[in-house]
Amino acid sequence: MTKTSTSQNNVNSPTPNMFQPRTDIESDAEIDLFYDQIKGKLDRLAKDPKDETISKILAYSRSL
Amino acid sequence: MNLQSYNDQDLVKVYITGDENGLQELLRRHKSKIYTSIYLLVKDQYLAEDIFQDAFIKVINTLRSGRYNEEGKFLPWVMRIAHNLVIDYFRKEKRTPIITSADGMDVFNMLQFYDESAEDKMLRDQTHKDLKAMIHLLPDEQKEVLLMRHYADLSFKEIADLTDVSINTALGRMRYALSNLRKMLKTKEMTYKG
Repeated sequence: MTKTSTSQNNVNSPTPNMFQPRTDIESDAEIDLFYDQIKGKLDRLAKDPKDETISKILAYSRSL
Repeated sequence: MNLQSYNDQDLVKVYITGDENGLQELLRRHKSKIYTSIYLLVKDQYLAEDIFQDAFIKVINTLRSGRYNEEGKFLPWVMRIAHNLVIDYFRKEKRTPIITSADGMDVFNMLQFYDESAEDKMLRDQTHKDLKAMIHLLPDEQKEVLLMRHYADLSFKEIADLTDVSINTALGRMRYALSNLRKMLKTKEMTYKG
């Protein structure tokens, strides 16, 4: 005799983890807050070219 | 003539009509934004100086030849030129640049902070180095957007145009860049605490 069975459709059934907060996904607010926090640190990485480089550029322009 | 109140487009006109002060003011206004973006991409001070200089030579040649037609968009235009020069450099070299520690001329390191303890200074220097190293570790496309947005102050529309992607992609890359930096900093903090 052949046994038959019908598979249970779980598509709409909640899985145990479905309603748990997903801590791996950051909210826009978290990212924005983080950006605000590191802006000052990023600004401190800013550098200027050497004065000599600026002088060369201006000299090139004057030479034309 | 006080050129500081002029907008970029007016300064370009001043320069094209023969007044070198126009170029001088444009350089003063934007040198840090452009140079920092180049420097953090190529990771080498001397190479960054060369690329910065080459970019402005192209700018000068274009302006002087009357071929400039980017109305009111001077900074994004220069950033595009600099960006292309960086890409050309990596294409020619066909390699990822090594991180140079020969940073003796680093402006940040040359600054003296007399009012802080040696321990505070060490911590600040370490944070500075860590953040720079973490930016270098970001995937190129994320690093590019972060630098263009933060240092060059470009809009996402301008970044999207410059890098040939949609605005949403540019926004997404910025978000991923920040998210990755956040994760790296968290991991670093845990290492310090652990």
